[in-house]
Amino acid sequence: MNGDDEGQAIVEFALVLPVLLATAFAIVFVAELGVARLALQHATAEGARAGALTNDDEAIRDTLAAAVTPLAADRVHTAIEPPQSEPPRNADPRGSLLTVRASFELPIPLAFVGLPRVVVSASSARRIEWTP
Amino acid sequence: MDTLNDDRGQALVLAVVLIAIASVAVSGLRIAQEQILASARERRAGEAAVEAATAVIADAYTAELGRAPARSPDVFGAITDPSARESARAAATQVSVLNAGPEIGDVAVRCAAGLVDVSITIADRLYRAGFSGSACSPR
Repeated sequence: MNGDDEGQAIVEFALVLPVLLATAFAIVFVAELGVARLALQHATAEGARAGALTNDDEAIRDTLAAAVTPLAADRVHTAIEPPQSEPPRNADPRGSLLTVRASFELPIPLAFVGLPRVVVSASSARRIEWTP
Repeated sequence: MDTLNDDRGQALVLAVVLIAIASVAVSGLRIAQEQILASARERRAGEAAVEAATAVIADAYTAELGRAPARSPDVFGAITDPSARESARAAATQVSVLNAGPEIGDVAVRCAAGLVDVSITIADRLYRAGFSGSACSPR
């Protein structure tokens, strides 16, 4: 009878280990998701503010890259609307709206098994104060 | 023998308990995150809104001073005028809503001691911005 129970704990542990690992992964992932959302929100707000004061896309991208820590700035995709080369920003944009959008694809360790991509995005709008 | 049989399934029970605790942890983490994000979003919207309102008031201030050669400027009247405040409120609301914030109820403008002070209140939180305006100095 003792022989029937040998290895019971190991088998049970082997059965539940994937579930436990998945749960631990979920906790870490949710924490990373929150950090990414906060960082992107902060970075787009800072970028939009820089844009409102300078009307300069380069300054917006630099400010956003500096503020997006702890995310890797080179992996953050940024869009500025409207671009600096288009009206009203290429003339007298004071009073018009500037929107800065950013997105970041969260790295997932088990992506190769077919887990879906998770892209976090944020946007901020400001009224341009800059005067030519 | 029975005692040995009773040990069966212990790991499963432990796993179920751990998963339940982890589920609560994940849910709590998500709820806390949403609260922090909502608060941060509201604060950002408020800051952007009050700066937009201040820019509108600053434009009214500058425009009034620009009329100076034609007549004596009434800066206080120009920037505290209901239409100027309504324009400021509209600009603040536009920016606030674009930043997922609420509509702005009222914009308070104060012109005193060489300063123009603009403030709005969102959810009992005061947001202020301003600029120096010598025309608001006592004469």
